[in-house]
Amino acid sequence: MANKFLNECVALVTGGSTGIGFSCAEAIGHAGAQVVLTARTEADGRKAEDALNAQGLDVIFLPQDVAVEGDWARICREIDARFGRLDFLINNAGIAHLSPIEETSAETALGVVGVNLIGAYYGLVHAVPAILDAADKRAFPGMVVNISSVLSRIGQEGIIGYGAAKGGMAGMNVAFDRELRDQRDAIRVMSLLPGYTMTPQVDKAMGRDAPLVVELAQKIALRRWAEPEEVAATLMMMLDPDIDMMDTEVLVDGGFLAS
Amino acid sequence: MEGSLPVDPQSFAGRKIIIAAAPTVLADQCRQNIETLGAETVVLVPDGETSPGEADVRAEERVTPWLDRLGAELKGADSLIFIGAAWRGDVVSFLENNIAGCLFYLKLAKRLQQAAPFDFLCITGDVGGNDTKRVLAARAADMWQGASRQMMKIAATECGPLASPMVANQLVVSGSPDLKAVLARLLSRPQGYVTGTSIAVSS
Repeated sequence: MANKFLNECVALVTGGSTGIGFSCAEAIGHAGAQVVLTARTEADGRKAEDALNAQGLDVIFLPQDVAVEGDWARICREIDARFGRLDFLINNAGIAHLSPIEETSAETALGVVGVNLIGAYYGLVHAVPAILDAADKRAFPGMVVNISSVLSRIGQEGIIGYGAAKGGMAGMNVAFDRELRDQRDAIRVMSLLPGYTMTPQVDKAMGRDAPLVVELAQKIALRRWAEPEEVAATLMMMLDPDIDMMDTEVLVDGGFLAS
Repeated sequence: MEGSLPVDPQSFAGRKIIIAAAPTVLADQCRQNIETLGAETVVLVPDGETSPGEADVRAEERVTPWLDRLGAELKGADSLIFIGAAWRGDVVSFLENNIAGCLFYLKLAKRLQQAAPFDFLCITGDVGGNDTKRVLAARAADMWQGASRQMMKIAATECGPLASPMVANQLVVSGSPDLKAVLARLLSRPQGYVTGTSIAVSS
């Protein structure tokens, strides 16, 4: 049952060519929105665009490196020129690198921070004014949803850059929630925190039945990893105008942190 | 109140504690507090002379020589307090300088901890900023506080199981509270059980 509750809205999904981003773009598109998905690699972006439009959705792909502030300015100008509004930003683009502290160069750590944190920050700087400008075109608040991680709350070996980025994202959420509190009717800034998710990249790199995957599943209350579609379904709960969430962070982790 | 110090005054005698920080009121206050407790302090300012400058910690070919040099010079130090780079009005460079700087000093700490239990304490405070930059300064403070909190959790996870454990914690300071008592407890010997946490204090 397709509930087109986002009809006429425009949503920007970064890192939308695969994994959680692709599933989010898909779900938002099925809810009736015009979706702009971005990715660094043109071939991946076009493939995702074709796949989603083949489902009858309204999706366009624009190339973007989220770590480059100029790309954000260009993307927002293009969205304004084409559609005249922006209602949602899903700050999903992210990369990871695994190595212990002593083997992690500053260049590597800052590269991860550049995409996962600074890129998301640029997104807020450029998209928030656009989302506020479109407030009178909506009957509900626009939203920025930062795709974070349970690793913004717990420590894990080998992810000093990723952990710094996701922790910084939590702080960014606090700052923008404070700044925009008086405009809650027009815009909300929230974070979605997935736990272990079986994206195509993870499946390709490790395999669903890999011993480590099975071992980690035992730490999750539901004893299994999430599917990207399940993360997207939680996003849709956040975007649902009939649900006035007061939280700024929403967990979708199968009970990992609870257990 | 001297008489209410919660730890054995001998706990700090003869110890060497590193403070890695740009020159700020907070950094100077920490130095004074540690010296009052009886430990020797070594202050590393990111000036490229006594310790790596902000550009040095980003360039891997410069990092290793600095680690080798400081690792040799500071042998015997058993704690490192990282306060980091000063705010200069730009959110992104503030974050990058502090994350890169913190990473460098974590690497240094991992070298120094090989001989004896080691404490790493990251102190974050009010970033400051005049009226026109106050919003940006507040953003930078919140983002750095979040980033450094996670860096300490990861360091605690990596370094807790070591034969000579390193504990890593964050101290969030609002205003200008007296830090002597909290530093005395956090950095006392024998090494405590607090690691991977964040403690907030205010005046």
